Amino acid sequence: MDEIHALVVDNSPVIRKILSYILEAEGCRVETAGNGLEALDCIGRQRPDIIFIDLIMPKIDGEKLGYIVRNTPELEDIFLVILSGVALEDYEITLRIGADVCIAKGPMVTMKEHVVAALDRFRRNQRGQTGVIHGLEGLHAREVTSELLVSKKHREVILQRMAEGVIELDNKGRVVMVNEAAVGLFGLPEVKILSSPLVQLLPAQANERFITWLDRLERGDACGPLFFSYDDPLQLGTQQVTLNLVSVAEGSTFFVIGILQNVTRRKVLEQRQRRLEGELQRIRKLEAMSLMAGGISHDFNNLLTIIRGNVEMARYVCQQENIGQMLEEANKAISLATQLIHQFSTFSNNYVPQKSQVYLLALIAEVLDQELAHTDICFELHCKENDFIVNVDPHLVQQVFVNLASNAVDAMAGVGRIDVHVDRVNGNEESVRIGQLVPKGELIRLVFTDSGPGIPLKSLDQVFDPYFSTKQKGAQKGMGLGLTIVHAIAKKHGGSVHILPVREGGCRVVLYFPLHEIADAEHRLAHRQKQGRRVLIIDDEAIVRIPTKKMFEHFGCLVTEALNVEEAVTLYRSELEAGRPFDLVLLDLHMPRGVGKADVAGEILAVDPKAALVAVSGDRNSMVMRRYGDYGFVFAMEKPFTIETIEEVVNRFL
Amino acid sequence: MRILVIDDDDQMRTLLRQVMEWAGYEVMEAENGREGMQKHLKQPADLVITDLIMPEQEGLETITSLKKAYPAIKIIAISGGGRIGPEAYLPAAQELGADKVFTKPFDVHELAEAVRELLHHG
Repeated sequence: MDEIHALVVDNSPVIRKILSYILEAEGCRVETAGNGLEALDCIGRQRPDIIFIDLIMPKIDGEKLGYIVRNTPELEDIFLVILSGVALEDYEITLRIGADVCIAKGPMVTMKEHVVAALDRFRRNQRGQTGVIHGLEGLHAREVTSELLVSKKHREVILQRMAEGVIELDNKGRVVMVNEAAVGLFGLPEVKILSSPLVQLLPAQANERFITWLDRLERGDACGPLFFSYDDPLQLGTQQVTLNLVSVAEGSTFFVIGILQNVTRRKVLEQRQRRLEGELQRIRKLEAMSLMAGGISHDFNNLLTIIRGNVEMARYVCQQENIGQMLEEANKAISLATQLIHQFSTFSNNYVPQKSQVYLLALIAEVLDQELAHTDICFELHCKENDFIVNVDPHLVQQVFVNLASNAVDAMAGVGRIDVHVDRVNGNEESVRIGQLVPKGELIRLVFTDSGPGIPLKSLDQVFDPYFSTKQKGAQKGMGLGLTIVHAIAKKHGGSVHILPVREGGCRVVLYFPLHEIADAEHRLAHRQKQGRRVLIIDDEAIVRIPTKKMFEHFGCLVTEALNVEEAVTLYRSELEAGRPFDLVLLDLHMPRGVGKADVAGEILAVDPKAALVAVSGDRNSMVMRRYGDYGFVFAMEKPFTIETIEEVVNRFL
Repeated sequence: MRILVIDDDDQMRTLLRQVMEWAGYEVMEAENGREGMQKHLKQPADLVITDLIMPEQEGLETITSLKKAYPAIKIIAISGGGRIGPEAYLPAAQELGADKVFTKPFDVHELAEAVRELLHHG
């Protein structure tokens, strides 16, 4: 048989010497190591046939070393002999490791006998646990040792279960202990991490700082902890991790404890929060602007009318050609200003989309055809469905694609391609996918991609701001509202718009419109049914009645008018009997003859206790208006109405 | 032929007066519906041009009362949009009896043409 290569691992030099003596006498070639880490180095250089391991050792202890040996494929069949000084105090540890032979440290003569026997078992290839600890006879358990072992076990459990990762390094920066959380963060098996230099486990970004720090410790320089902080965390795989390394002096040398914290979740939440705040800010900004837009566009229209009218008059009466030309120029500017203010007025909350049923793809194709006519840009529409019939304001949606196309033409300097993908998606899933706020529910998605240089990442948050431009300012008058208007229009339709970064360049705009705005054949039918809600307006004043009627009709209601109470009650009764009851009744409280007020409500309720009555008055402080519920009304509307009030009523009651 | 211009904005009235005078009509001005009715009582107008959005929805009221009292009178309503935008008011004005509606800013030539058509062919 070949010479047996034995490794003796014990922190006691005396034991190392005795064992070497015994084993060499038995014809073995013996190597020794003072702790688990040294042992792993020896094993790494040359694989021994048999290892004698002490349990209690610094750095990597016997239990860990045994575990590594048993769980490393190329080492697992090494013959393992445990030489335990605590065999009586912790009977289990000794057996748990899965050693081939266990020997209690005791009197030299007994030990020698068992070591030789173990060697004999190895020679005869008798492997596997015997479940027996040899050499226990004549030994006594020591209470202090038991207590220490118990307390060590408790600390071990805490260390393994804590959420923070904990590692211990020796003075060369090699890992001698790692808890479960840290194992998870490094993403490697424990046996690979133990004895590895930390530099091999850290990302390259961290190495220089760590090596410098370790060198200073080695030289004995006093230095504080090394901290890879929250602001500059380490990237371990997909996780972002902080690492705090502290050196602890131990005699003339030192060891290092490292605490790892996974901050990925916090980072992600923080990022999401920041994005939401940005989005909210944008919404507030646009909200403020829409208020302003309502006022400004009204006043500006008046001013423009006067300027335009006077310029036109002047042109007409002017005899001098040069002045005529000047006025002509002024007129051109007025036309541009008119267009601009018209676009601007779409921001106004008062601007109500005039919805009708539109073939969406046909509309997009038409706009792009026109906008790209004099360029070298081609476009392609991608959609699995033939077309969508959508219920939108065609002029506004047209404006959306005019603006997008015009941006694309500028960005590509007139040469390139545009792709438009249209499909149906779920809003909640999309929110998660793109990480931005998308309306809930079923949506139609339009993805507009150009082949231009794209928008720089840092500008993505700003592109919807009015007058933000990646282009040179002032190149074209009236520019700068393009995407802001797209945003306003999408919002008016209950949709949203987003700019997504594209890795391969180009710019990608994603638009979402709620699917309930979409009417395919089936859908349209349902829509019409919903639209057939009947409203009865009882008011003797045409001036109130007619605009109110128009506004309700705008929301798809069928409106019937009644000029007096008798007519209203008769009408209500006959329609109810005909099976076409009114869904909502608006009752002006100030009708002539003083018969308005609560009496009428009572009369109608007598006919139909389920009638939904809305009190209407210019006097919000009247008793009936303030306590409309007591008088049998479901709601009270103050004159004059705004389109928002009507919309609220339609949404709440129809 | 006499035209009554009702608008609370005096620059607007001046413009409308100039355009109408230039087109060869006699023009009366009023700042609001009430004043307009009074002027019309003294000297009946053949056609009324009225702004829609004046304080308290006076435009619509004026149209209603005028058409009720003088069914033959021609009315042109002009709107620049107000609280709820021209798209809700203009159809209402038409329904109440306005013969023609214009949105600001309008072309004065078109306005003059509309007046001529209403007075001579309407």
